[in-house]
Amino acid sequence: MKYALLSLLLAGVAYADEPAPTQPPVEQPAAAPPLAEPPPPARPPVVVEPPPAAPAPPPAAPAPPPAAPAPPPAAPAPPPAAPAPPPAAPAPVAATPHVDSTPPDDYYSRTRGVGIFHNARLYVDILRGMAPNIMDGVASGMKDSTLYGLGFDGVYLGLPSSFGNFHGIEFSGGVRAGEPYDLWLTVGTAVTLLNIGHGSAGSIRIGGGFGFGFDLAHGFGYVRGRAAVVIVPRTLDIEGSISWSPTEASTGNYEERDMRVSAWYRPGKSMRAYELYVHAFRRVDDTKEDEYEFDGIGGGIGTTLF
Amino acid sequence: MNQKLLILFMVLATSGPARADDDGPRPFLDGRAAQHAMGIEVGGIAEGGATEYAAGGLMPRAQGLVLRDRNGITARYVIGLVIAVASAIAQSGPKSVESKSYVQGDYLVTETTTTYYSEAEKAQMRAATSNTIDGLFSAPYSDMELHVFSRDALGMGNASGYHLNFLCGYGETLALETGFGFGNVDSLVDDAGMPAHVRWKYVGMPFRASLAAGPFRIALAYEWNWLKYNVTKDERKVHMNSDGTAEEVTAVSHPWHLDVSTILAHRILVSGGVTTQQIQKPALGYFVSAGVMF
Repeated sequence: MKYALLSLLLAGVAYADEPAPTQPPVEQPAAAPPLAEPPPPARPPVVVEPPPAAPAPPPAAPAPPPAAPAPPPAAPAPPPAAPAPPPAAPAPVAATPHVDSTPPDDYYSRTRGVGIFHNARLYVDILRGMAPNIMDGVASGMKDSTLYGLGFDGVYLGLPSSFGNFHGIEFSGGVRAGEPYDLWLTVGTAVTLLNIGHGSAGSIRIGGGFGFGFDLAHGFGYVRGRAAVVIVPRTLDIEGSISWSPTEASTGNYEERDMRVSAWYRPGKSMRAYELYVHAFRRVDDTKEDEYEFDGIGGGIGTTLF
Repeated sequence: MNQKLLILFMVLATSGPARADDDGPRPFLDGRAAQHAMGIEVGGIAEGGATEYAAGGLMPRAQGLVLRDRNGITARYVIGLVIAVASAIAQSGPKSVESKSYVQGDYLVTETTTTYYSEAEKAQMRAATSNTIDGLFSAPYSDMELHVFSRDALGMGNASGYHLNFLCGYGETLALETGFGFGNVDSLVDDAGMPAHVRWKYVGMPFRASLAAGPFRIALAYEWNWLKYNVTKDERKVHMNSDGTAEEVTAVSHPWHLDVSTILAHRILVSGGVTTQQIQKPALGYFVSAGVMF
């Protein structure tokens, strides 16, 4: 049974976009409970939150109480031809268990690839770590180093694939002051591998990206993995990401790894959210101690854009 | 194990790409989707025999990962970027440089005339570049295909490196694609007890013709490797390296690939085919790959 539930959850991958899965396949107003029908594996939210399932099928027997609110529930069916379609539409809306108590807004879209809800972020951070001590071009041991960074990331998952996922493009750029001073620019393809849910608590997006870029040390290709989950619907989401540039994909001999865990909090109803994150960055030269090497951790704050 | 298979089967069966189109249910083996669908494949690949990575009778086994963006955006923006940069360089460079030398009295005089593009010509070049890039993004076919091999981390092969192609193209029944690619694979094989490095490098242009034929997609590809011309005859033969610790040989060819692929169960891209380094005296290598389409 749990496998069946899992498969139903994963079936959410197939949907193209946006909160409400757009299948109104209910012919009879509300006779059967929604979980009973296997053919439309259509409603991942139904599985996510079982509690609302109970109030869902009111029209079954207790016809007398909902006298006024419900639209004519198909009892007065003498003329079956015309009146049948109209009641079919509103009935599922009332009966479909909604995962969130708050009304939906435009905050969720599968085209947004930063965290769950966001398109882009602008951030500042501080990294504290070790860097080679270069004196007259010669490395002599390691030293403490602090870097101050300003950066921008953007991800747009605007291309629906033929397999139910959304892919797109990603971009990153920024500068870092300190030793080693640095600036970077990357561009790549953003990928969704798995998407579960539509912005409710527990909604998950797993994806990543691959592309190329350069910084002051080298040109490189990279791959990136991302996993994001909603903690509080439309208010708080978190994301973990790691990007890796192997030595083989470096024009120098550098291996680069960048890990980040971010939390976004949306204080109001605007699209703006604020980010708090921790961050680890490591760039090492395979062959020698080099002025661009660094290995450290830190954190920062950011704000979403767009 | 059976539970994992069951989960996998249910995931594949219930993830609903088949519902995306309104042109009827998709077949279990779908060559048309392999040709026309847009998606990203992540999977594995294995190659062996007389592939492009083989030389001097040494035939490495190459195993690793495949990452492919079929009909997506990657190849388009990479090729577009290359075209834009090339155009910018061309516009800022000289249109022609002419030198003539003559003797004048006791001196040899050399006059060099450099002609640059006019503003009108530059505008024309910019417009042509823009049209070309527009064409890239409206082309029905594109492909970014990356093979990553590692003898240490992935599989049990003896090759390490990568092979990357970007293609873009047009066509209806028959798709014709071209672009550019590069790669670098180093294989460490055993040659009668002596370790031997087989090195392969590639910078060039791939050309591919492909079509969907029933449940399969059939593709014939040719890779024009520009680096072949820089490899000496000695380097193409197995020889000892400079420090005498191992043999080495450089693999060079303009290889041909014939492959058949299909999308299985609406989600799994399976392909296999043969490679030959030359048509005249074909010695065949093989490759098989399978991956999940996202």
